[in-house]
Amino acid sequence: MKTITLECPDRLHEQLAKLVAAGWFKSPEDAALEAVRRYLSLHSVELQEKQIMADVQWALNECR
Amino acid sequence: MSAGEIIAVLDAGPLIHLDQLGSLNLLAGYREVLLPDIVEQEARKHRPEIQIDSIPGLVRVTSQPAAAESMFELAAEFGLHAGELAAIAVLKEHHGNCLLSDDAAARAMAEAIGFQVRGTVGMILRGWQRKQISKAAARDLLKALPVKSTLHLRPGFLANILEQINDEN
Repeated sequence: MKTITLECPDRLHEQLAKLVAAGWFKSPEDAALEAVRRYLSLHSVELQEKQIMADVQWALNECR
Repeated sequence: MSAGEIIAVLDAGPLIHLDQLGSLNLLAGYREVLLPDIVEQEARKHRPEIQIDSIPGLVRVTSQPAAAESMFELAAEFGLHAGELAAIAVLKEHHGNCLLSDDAAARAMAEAIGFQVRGTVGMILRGWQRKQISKAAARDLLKALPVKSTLHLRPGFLANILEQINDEN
Protein backbone atom coordinates (compact mmCIF):
# COMPACT_ATOMS: atom_id res chain seq x y z
CA MET A 1 0.00 0.00 0.00
CA LYS A 2 1.38 3.44 -1.00
CA THR A 3 0.39 6.88 0.23
CA ILE A 4 -0.25 9.69 -2.26
CA THR A 5 -0.64 13.28 -1.10
CA LEU A 6 -2.60 15.52 -3.46
CA GLU A 7 -3.76 19.11 -3.59
CA CYS A 8 -7.44 19.07 -4.48
CA PRO A 9 -9.10 22.13 -6.06
CA ASP A 10 -11.92 23.51 -3.89
CA ARG A 11 -14.64 22.66 -6.41
CA LEU A 12 -13.58 19.03 -6.64
CA HIS A 13 -13.25 18.79 -2.87
CA GLU A 14 -16.78 20.15 -2.45
CA GLN A 15 -18.06 17.41 -4.77
CA LEU A 16 -16.19 14.74 -2.82
CA ALA A 17 -17.56 16.16 0.44
CA LYS A 18 -21.11 15.96 -0.95
CA LEU A 19 -20.63 12.25 -1.69
CA VAL A 20 -19.33 11.70 1.83
CA ALA A 21 -22.24 13.67 3.34
CA ALA A 22 -24.68 11.61 1.31
CA GLY A 23 -23.20 8.47 2.80
CA TRP A 24 -21.53 7.06 -0.31
CA PHE A 25 -18.04 7.15 1.18
CA LYS A 26 -16.49 7.24 4.65
CA SER A 27 -14.14 10.09 3.73
CA PRO A 28 -13.06 12.34 0.84
CA GLU A 29 -9.94 10.15 0.56
CA ASP A 30 -12.08 7.06 -0.04
CA ALA A 31 -14.07 8.95 -2.67
CA ALA A 32 -10.86 10.07 -4.38
CA LEU A 33 -9.54 6.49 -4.39
CA GLU A 34 -12.74 5.29 -6.07
CA ALA A 35 -12.40 8.07 -8.66
CA VAL A 36 -8.87 6.88 -9.46
CA ARG A 37 -10.11 3.28 -9.75
CA ARG A 38 -12.81 4.36 -12.18
CA TYR A 39 -10.41 6.47 -14.22
CA LEU A 40 -7.98 3.58 -14.56
CA SER A 41 -10.71 1.13 -15.54
CA LEU A 42 -11.92 3.53 -18.24
CA HIS A 43 -8.44 4.03 -19.64
CA SER A 44 -7.36 0.41 -19.66
CA VAL A 45 -5.78 -1.32 -22.64
CA GLU A 46 -8.44 -4.04 -22.36
CA LEU A 47 -11.27 -1.54 -22.75
CA GLN A 48 -9.57 0.21 -25.66
CA GLU A 49 -8.99 -3.10 -27.46
CA LYS A 50 -12.57 -4.21 -26.82
CA GLN A 51 -13.84 -0.98 -28.37
CA ILE A 52 -11.55 -1.28 -31.40
CA MET A 53 -12.65 -4.88 -31.92
CA ALA A 54 -16.26 -3.67 -31.83
CA ASP A 55 -15.31 -1.27 -34.63
CA VAL A 56 -13.83 -4.16 -36.62
CA GLN A 57 -16.95 -6.29 -36.19
CA TRP A 58 -19.17 -3.35 -37.14
CA ALA A 59 -17.12 -2.68 -40.28
CA LEU A 60 -17.09 -6.34 -41.33
CA ASN A 61 -20.72 -7.13 -40.59
CA GLU A 62 -22.82 -3.98 -40.79
CA CYS A 63 -20.97 -1.34 -42.72
CA ARG A 64 -21.67 -2.49 -46.29
CA MET B 1 -29.91 4.72 -40.98
CA SER B 2 -27.65 4.92 -44.04
CA ALA B 3 -24.21 6.50 -43.76
CA GLY B 4 -25.30 9.46 -45.86
CA GLU B 5 -27.86 10.41 -43.20
CA ILE B 6 -25.44 10.28 -40.29
CA ILE B 7 -24.08 13.40 -38.66
CA ALA B 8 -20.70 12.58 -37.14
CA VAL B 9 -18.75 14.63 -34.62
CA LEU B 10 -14.97 14.50 -34.55
CA ASP B 11 -12.84 14.17 -31.47
CA ALA B 12 -9.10 14.86 -31.78
CA GLY B 13 -7.93 11.22 -31.94
CA PRO B 14 -9.21 10.08 -35.37
CA LEU B 15 -8.59 13.57 -36.74
CA ILE B 16 -4.91 13.42 -35.83
CA HIS B 17 -4.40 9.73 -36.59
CA LEU B 18 -6.05 9.80 -40.02
CA ASP B 19 -4.09 12.94 -40.91
CA GLN B 20 -0.88 11.22 -39.86
CA LEU B 21 -1.79 8.46 -42.34
CA GLY B 22 -2.70 11.01 -45.04
CA SER B 23 -6.21 9.58 -45.03
CA LEU B 24 -8.64 12.26 -43.84
CA ASN B 25 -10.58 11.52 -47.05
CA LEU B 26 -11.84 8.35 -45.30
CA LEU B 27 -14.25 10.62 -43.40
CA ALA B 28 -16.26 10.99 -46.63
CA GLY B 29 -19.83 9.73 -46.87
CA TYR B 30 -21.37 11.27 -43.79
CA ARG B 31 -24.10 13.88 -44.12
CA GLU B 32 -21.92 16.23 -42.10
CA VAL B 33 -18.72 15.92 -40.11
CA LEU B 34 -18.92 18.42 -37.26
CA LEU B 35 -15.68 19.73 -35.78
CA PRO B 36 -15.95 21.54 -32.42
CA ASP B 37 -13.61 24.52 -32.12
CA ILE B 38 -11.98 23.14 -28.96
CA VAL B 39 -11.19 19.87 -30.75
CA GLU B 40 -9.63 21.76 -33.69
CA GLN B 41 -7.46 23.78 -31.29
CA GLU B 42 -6.37 20.59 -29.53
CA ALA B 43 -5.54 18.87 -32.85
CA ARG B 44 -3.58 21.87 -34.16
CA LYS B 45 -1.63 22.03 -30.90
CA HIS B 46 -0.46 18.43 -31.38
CA ARG B 47 -0.16 18.65 -35.17
CA PRO B 48 0.15 22.20 -36.55
CA GLU B 49 0.39 20.99 -40.16
CA ILE B 50 -2.91 19.08 -40.02
CA GLN B 51 -4.94 19.23 -43.26
CA ILE B 52 -8.33 19.87 -41.68
CA ASP B 53 -9.81 21.63 -44.70
CA SER B 54 -9.47 18.44 -46.75
CA ILE B 55 -12.18 16.69 -44.70
CA PRO B 56 -15.26 16.02 -46.88
CA GLY B 57 -18.46 17.49 -45.44
CA LEU B 58 -16.63 19.39 -42.71
CA VAL B 59 -18.67 21.86 -40.66
CA ARG B 60 -16.90 23.84 -37.95
CA VAL B 61 -19.02 24.43 -34.86
CA THR B 62 -18.58 26.42 -31.69
CA SER B 63 -18.90 24.38 -28.52
CA GLN B 64 -21.68 25.71 -26.35
CA PRO B 65 -20.53 25.94 -22.73
CA ALA B 66 -24.16 25.79 -21.57
CA ALA B 67 -24.70 22.47 -23.33
CA ALA B 68 -21.52 21.07 -21.81
CA GLU B 69 -22.33 22.32 -18.33
CA SER B 70 -25.23 19.93 -17.94
CA MET B 71 -22.81 17.05 -18.51
CA PHE B 72 -19.98 18.18 -16.25
CA GLU B 73 -20.76 15.67 -13.53
CA LEU B 74 -21.01 12.74 -15.90
CA ALA B 75 -17.87 13.88 -17.73
CA ALA B 76 -16.00 14.09 -14.45
CA GLU B 77 -17.11 10.58 -13.62
CA PHE B 78 -15.75 9.31 -16.94
CA GLY B 79 -12.56 11.40 -16.64
CA LEU B 80 -13.07 13.34 -19.89
CA HIS B 81 -10.97 16.26 -21.09
CA ALA B 82 -12.32 19.50 -22.55
CA GLY B 83 -12.15 18.38 -26.20
CA GLU B 84 -13.94 15.10 -25.56
CA LEU B 85 -16.61 16.79 -23.49
CA ALA B 86 -17.08 19.42 -26.21
CA ALA B 87 -17.47 16.72 -28.87
CA ILE B 88 -20.20 14.96 -26.89
CA ALA B 89 -21.90 18.28 -26.11
CA VAL B 90 -21.92 19.09 -29.85
CA LEU B 91 -23.40 15.66 -30.59
CA LYS B 92 -26.32 16.47 -28.31
CA GLU B 93 -26.69 20.09 -29.35
CA HIS B 94 -26.63 19.40 -33.11
CA HIS B 95 -28.61 16.12 -32.98
CA GLY B 96 -25.61 14.17 -34.19
CA ASN B 97 -25.58 10.38 -34.39
CA CYS B 98 -22.01 9.24 -34.17
CA LEU B 99 -18.92 10.21 -32.18
CA LEU B 100 -15.59 9.61 -33.90
CA SER B 101 -13.12 9.08 -31.07
CA ASP B 102 -10.25 6.85 -30.01
CA ASP B 103 -10.49 7.77 -26.36
CA ALA B 104 -11.80 4.86 -24.30
CA ALA B 105 -13.52 7.04 -21.70
CA ALA B 106 -15.18 9.33 -24.27
CA ARG B 107 -16.38 6.31 -26.21
CA ALA B 108 -17.79 4.72 -23.06
CA MET B 109 -19.65 7.90 -22.10
CA ALA B 110 -21.05 8.50 -25.61
CA GLU B 111 -22.28 4.90 -25.78
CA ALA B 112 -23.76 5.17 -22.31
CA ILE B 113 -25.94 8.06 -23.46
CA GLY B 114 -26.98 6.30 -26.65
CA PHE B 115 -24.70 7.43 -29.46
CA GLN B 116 -22.87 5.34 -32.05
CA VAL B 117 -19.11 5.52 -31.65
CA ARG B 118 -16.34 4.69 -34.13
CA GLY B 119 -12.59 5.18 -34.06
CA THR B 120 -9.67 5.35 -36.46
CA VAL B 121 -9.58 1.59 -37.10
CA GLY B 122 -13.32 1.64 -37.81
CA MET B 123 -12.86 4.52 -40.27
CA ILE B 124 -10.14 2.66 -42.18
CA LEU B 125 -12.25 -0.49 -42.48
CA ARG B 126 -15.33 1.57 -43.36
CA GLY B 127 -13.33 3.06 -46.25
CA TRP B 128 -12.67 -0.45 -47.54
CA GLN B 129 -16.28 -1.57 -47.11
CA ARG B 130 -17.48 1.56 -48.94
CA LYS B 131 -15.04 0.63 -51.73
CA GLN B 132 -13.21 3.90 -51.23
CA ILE B 133 -9.95 1.97 -50.80
CA SER B 134 -8.93 -1.61 -51.58
CA LYS B 135 -8.57 -4.34 -48.99
CA ALA B 136 -4.79 -4.22 -49.52
CA ALA B 137 -4.76 -0.46 -48.92
CA ALA B 138 -6.81 -0.89 -45.74
CA ARG B 139 -4.35 -3.52 -44.52
CA ASP B 140 -1.41 -1.22 -45.31
CA LEU B 141 -3.02 1.64 -43.38
CA LEU B 142 -3.66 -0.60 -40.38
CA LYS B 143 -0.05 -1.80 -40.46
CA ALA B 144 1.10 1.82 -40.69
CA LEU B 145 -0.84 2.87 -37.57
CA PRO B 146 1.89 1.99 -35.02
CA VAL B 147 4.61 3.38 -37.32
CA LYS B 148 3.19 6.57 -38.78
CA SER B 149 0.56 7.54 -36.23
CA THR B 150 0.41 8.12 -32.51
CA LEU B 151 -2.34 5.50 -32.08
CA HIS B 152 -0.50 2.66 -30.42
CA LEU B 153 -1.73 -0.89 -30.86
CA ARG B 154 -0.11 -4.00 -29.42
CA PRO B 155 1.51 -6.03 -32.23
CA GLY B 156 -0.49 -9.12 -31.24
CA PHE B 157 -3.74 -7.16 -31.26
CA LEU B 158 -3.02 -5.66 -34.68
CA ALA B 159 -2.19 -9.12 -36.00
CA ASN B 160 -5.57 -10.32 -34.71
CA ILE B 161 -7.35 -7.53 -36.61
CA LEU B 162 -5.42 -8.27 -39.81
CA GLU B 163 -6.27 -11.97 -39.48
CA GLN B 164 -9.98 -11.17 -39.25
CA ILE B 165 -9.76 -9.07 -42.39
CA ASN B 166 -7.95 -11.86 -44.22
CA ASP B 167 -11.01 -14.06 -43.82
CA GLU B 168 -13.23 -11.46 -45.50
CA ASN B 169 -13.71 -10.80 -49.20
